[in-house]
Amino acid sequence: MSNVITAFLGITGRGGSPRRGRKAASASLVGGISESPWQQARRRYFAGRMGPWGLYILIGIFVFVVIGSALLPFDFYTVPQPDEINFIGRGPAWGRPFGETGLLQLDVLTLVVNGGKTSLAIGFLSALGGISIGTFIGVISGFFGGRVDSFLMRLTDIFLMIPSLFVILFLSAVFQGKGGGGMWTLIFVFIAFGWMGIARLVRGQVLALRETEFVEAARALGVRPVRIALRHILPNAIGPVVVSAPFAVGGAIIGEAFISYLGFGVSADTPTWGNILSEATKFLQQGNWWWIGFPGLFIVLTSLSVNMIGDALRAALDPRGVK
Amino acid sequence: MSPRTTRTPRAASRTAAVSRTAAVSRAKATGRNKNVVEVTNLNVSFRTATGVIKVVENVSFSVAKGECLAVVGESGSGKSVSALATIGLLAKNQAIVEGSVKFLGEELLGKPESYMRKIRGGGISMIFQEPLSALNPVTTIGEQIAEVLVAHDRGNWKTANAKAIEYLEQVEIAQPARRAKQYPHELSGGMRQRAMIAMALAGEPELIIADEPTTALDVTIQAQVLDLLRRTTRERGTALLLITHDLGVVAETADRVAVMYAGQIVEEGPAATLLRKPASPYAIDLVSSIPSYERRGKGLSTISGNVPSPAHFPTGCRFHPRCRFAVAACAKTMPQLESTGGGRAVRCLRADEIARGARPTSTAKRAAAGGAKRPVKAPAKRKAAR
Amino acid sequence: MLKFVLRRIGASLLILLGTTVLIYALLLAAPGGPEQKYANNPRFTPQQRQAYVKALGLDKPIPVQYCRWLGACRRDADGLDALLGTTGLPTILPTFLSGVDTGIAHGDFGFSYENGSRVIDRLAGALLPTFILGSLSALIWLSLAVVLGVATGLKSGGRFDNIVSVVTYVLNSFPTFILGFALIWIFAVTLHLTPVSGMTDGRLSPAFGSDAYWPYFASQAGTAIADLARHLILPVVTLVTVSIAGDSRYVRQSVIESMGMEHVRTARSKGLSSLRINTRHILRTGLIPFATNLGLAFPFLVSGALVTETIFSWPGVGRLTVTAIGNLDYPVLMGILTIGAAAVAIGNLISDVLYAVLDPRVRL
Repeated sequence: MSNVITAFLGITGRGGSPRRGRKAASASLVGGISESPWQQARRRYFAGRMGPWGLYILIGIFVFVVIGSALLPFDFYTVPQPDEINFIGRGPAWGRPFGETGLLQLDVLTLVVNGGKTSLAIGFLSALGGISIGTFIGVISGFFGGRVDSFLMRLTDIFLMIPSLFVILFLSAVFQGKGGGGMWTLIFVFIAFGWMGIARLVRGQVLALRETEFVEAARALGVRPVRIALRHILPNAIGPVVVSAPFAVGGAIIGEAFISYLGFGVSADTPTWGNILSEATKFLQQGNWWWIGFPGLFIVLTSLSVNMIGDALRAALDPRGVK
Repeated sequence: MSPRTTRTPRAASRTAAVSRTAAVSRAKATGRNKNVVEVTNLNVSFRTATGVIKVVENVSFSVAKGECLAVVGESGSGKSVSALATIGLLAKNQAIVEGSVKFLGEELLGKPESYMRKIRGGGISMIFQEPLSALNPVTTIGEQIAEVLVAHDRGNWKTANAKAIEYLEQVEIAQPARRAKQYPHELSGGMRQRAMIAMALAGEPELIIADEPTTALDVTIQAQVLDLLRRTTRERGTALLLITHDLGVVAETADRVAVMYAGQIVEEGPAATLLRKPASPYAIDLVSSIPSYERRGKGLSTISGNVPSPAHFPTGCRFHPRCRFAVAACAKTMPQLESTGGGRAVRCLRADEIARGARPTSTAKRAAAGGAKRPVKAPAKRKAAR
Repeated sequence: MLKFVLRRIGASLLILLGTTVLIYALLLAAPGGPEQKYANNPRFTPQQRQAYVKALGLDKPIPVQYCRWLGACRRDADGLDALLGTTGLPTILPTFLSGVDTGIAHGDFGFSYENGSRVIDRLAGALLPTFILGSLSALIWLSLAVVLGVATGLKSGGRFDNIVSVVTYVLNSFPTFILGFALIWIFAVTLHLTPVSGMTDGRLSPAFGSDAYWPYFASQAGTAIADLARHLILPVVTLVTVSIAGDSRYVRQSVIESMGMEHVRTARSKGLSSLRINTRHILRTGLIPFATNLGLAFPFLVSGALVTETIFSWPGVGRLTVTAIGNLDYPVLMGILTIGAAAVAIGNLISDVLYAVLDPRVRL
C-alpha cells in the first residue's frame, strides 16, 4: 500500500518517479541536445508524478473556486435574517453539500468558494509582490555592488531580525484594529515582510553570474548595463525564484487564514477561508465538523499542492541538488 | 581464452571453512610462492538509470606473497573499481560483480557479509587516496587503529590502544603516543598517510590494496611514504596491490605492472621490462608521456583525447580512436590479451608489427580507421617527428 | 573556550541593544501609537487622555522614551541630567551604584497598559507554561526526529523510508492551526479523550499560576499532575507533528550524506561490525549538524509557540503575545521581544559551543 502512495506522490529518494525523471533527463541529453534548459526543466517537471499532480490539484481548486463563486455569488449585507437561533448550523445534505453555518445559517459551499477567491487572491498577489520586490532588490544589490549593495543588505538583515509572524500580526492589528480590515492591507503587510529571502537568494545568484564569462563577454562587447542585467543575468538567476514562488503562495494563504482566525485579518463581512474558520471554531465543541472541515480541507489541499509543485520545480531546475 | 600470463598452482583443497583465521593459517602453512590473491575474469557493471554499464571487463591478475603488482591507468579506466570489487566494497544494489576473486585459495565473491567483514582489515586492507577524508575526522588516530585490532579479535580496547601506538611507531611517526591521541586534522598530510598505513598494517593482512596512496601528497613526501609502504610490506611478506596513474611510482615500487585502459588490461608484465620497452600503443604513449631529462626541449608528450566513458566504449579496440598505430581492422576487431613470452602479455592487433618497429600510421589512415568519428585534435606532426 | 564565550556574550549584548532600538522604533512608529486604543472611547475626555499620555511619558521624544525604557535615563529628570542617577553616577549602572531602579537595565520592564500589572510578573507567569509545553514537545520531537531520521537514512529507499516520507510530507503540508482543530475535533469533541483547551480543569483546580494554585498542587500533587498531563496531550501532539517532518528529513539527509563520506568506506574496509560503523563512523559525524541545531531550539522554550498556544488557550508567552498585540500593550510586547531576542542570542551561543564540543576540528 505504501508503495502505491509513494509511487503516486513520487516523493521518495530512489523508488518511484525521481528515477523516471532522471531517465527522461539523461535521455534528453543523448537524444536532443538542441533542447533549451527551460524545455529540459519542463520535461523533467512533467516526468515526475509530484509536479503534474500538484498542478492538477491546484488547477482543480482554481476552477472550483472561480466557477463556484460565479454561480453562487455572496453579499454579506443581503443575507436574510434567519428565523430561528441555531449556533452550530446543519450538516451536509442534498442542496447544501457542505452544510450550513450556525448563526446566519449561510451555505458553507457558497462561503468556501467566495472565501477561496479572496484567500487565493491574497496568496498569489502577496507572493507576486514579495517576489517582484525581492528580485528587484536582489538584482540591484548584486549587480551594482558597493555601497548600494551594503545598504540594501543591511536593510534586509534588519527586516530579517524581526520575527515576521509577530510583525505581520502586529501591523495587521495596528492597521486594521480588532475586527479586521481590507484584503489589500493584508497583502501589503505580507509583501512588506515577504521579500527578504528572495532578495538574498537573487543577490547571491547575480553575484555569481556577474563573474561568468558570458557576462564578461557581453560587457566587453559594450552592451549597456541595464540590458546585461535584464537579458543576461536575470533569466539565469530566476531559477531559485521560480522554486520559492509556490512556497510563498502557500505561506501567504496559511498566514491569512491564521491572522483572520485571530481576528486581525480581512473584515468579517468578506469571507475568506480564515474568516470562516474564525467563526466556526467558536462553536467547535458543539461538533460542527462541516463548518470547519471544508474550508480546512481547502487550505490543506492548497498547501499540499503548492508544496508538491515547489519540490517538483526544485527537482526539475536543479537536478543535482534534489533532496 | 587464457589472458593470464603468470600461472600459479591452485589451492589443493577447497574447503567450506568459514573461519578466516583457519583459512589464513592453512595458507600460511602451505607453499611459499603461493598467490595471495587471484582475480580471474572479473567483470563489474553498474546499474544506472539508463541501464547496466560495464566498467570492468574480464580483468585477471594475481599478487604473490611479498610481491607488488601495480595497476596503472588513467582515471576512469576501472582500476579503482577492480580494487573495490576485490575487497567487496562495491554496493550490492548498485554494482554487479562477476568472475572470481580467490583469496588464499578461497573464493570471495558470493560470500556473506559476515565472512567478508573478517577478510576486510584482517586479510585484505585498503589504503585510500586522500587521507584527510578517508580518516574519520572526529575520532582519534589511535582509536581508528585500535578498532581494527578489536574488530579482528586481537585484544580488548586497553591492549589495542597500546598496540596502536606500536603500529604508529612502526610507520616511523615521531612521538607516537601523543599522535595517537590527536585527530586527523592535527597531523600533516604525510603523517596522515602514515597513520593510514599503520591502520592497514594493524590487521596483519596478507594483502594491502593501496589506491593512489601518494597522489594527494607533496612530491617530497611521496617518495618517503612509498618507500615506507614497500619496506613494511616486503618485511612482512605482505602482498601489495598498488593502484596508480603515476608511472614514476610504478618504476620505484612495483615488481609487476598491469596497464588498464577503458575497463580492460591492455598490457601486463614485469615492471622493469615493461617500462623499458612497452609493447602496446597505449603503454608506449603512457611511458613516453613521463617527462624526462633526455627529451627536454621537445615539449611534453601527451595522449590526445580522453578516456571514453563506459557508456560509450568504441567498437573494436577501445583505444583505436586515440591510437597512433590504428588501422582499419582496429575499429572492427577487439584484440585479446595475448602472451608474448617473458611473463608479458599485450592486447593489440598490431603488437607483432609494432615490436618489429612499425611506424605510426598517417592521419589519413587513422581517419579511415574510425578516428574521424571522434576527431583527433592532437598535433600529429609533433608526434610523427618524435 | 571561556574567552570565546565571554566575547560572544559581549557581542550578543550589543546586538541585543540594536534589536531593542529597532523594535522600539517599529512599535512606536506604527500609526496611532499606544494611546490609539483610547482615542475613540467617548468616555475618555481629552483632558484625561492628555494626563494618561503624560503619565506614561508618551509626550517625550521617542529617543528619550527609549532611554527611559532601557534604564539609561531617569524618569524624574529631563535632558542630560537624566543620564546621571541620584548618587551622581551614570543611571545605567546597577541600582546600588546609581540609586535608580527603573528601566530594563535594573530589571524593570514597566507596567502593562492592559491592566497596570508589572510586565515582569506577566512574563514570569507565562514563561512556566511555555517552558512546560515547549520542553516536553521539543524533547519528544527531537528524539523522535533522530530515531526516524536515522532509521530512514540508514535504509533509504526501503519500505519504512517510503512510508515515513509520505506521512511526513503530508503532515508537513498541514498548517499548525488546522491540525490543532482536527485534533481537538477528533480527540476532545468526538471521542472525549482529552480536554479541549486550557492548562487545568476549572472544576477541579484553581487556574495555573494563580495564588491558590501552588497550595492546591502541594496538597494534591497526583491529581494536579494528571490534570496537567491530560491538558498537555493535544498541544504536545500538535507541536511534535508539525515540527517532526522537517527535522527528521534533516537528520535523514545528514545520515545519507555521512554514509557517502570516504571515511565510512575506510571503516568498511577495516572489517568493523555494522554497529560500530553505524554509530561511531556514520552517526558520530552525521548527527553533528543536527546536534548543533539543538541550541537553536532554545528560543522556542522562551518565546513559545504562537499558533499552538492560541488554539489551545495555553497560558504561555505565545498567547500572551497575541493578547498583547490585540491590546497594543507596548510594554508587554517590548518585554516579550527583548527576552525573545536574548533567547535567540543564547541559543546561538549554545549552538556554537556544542559544535566545538562535538567536532574536534572546530576551535573556539
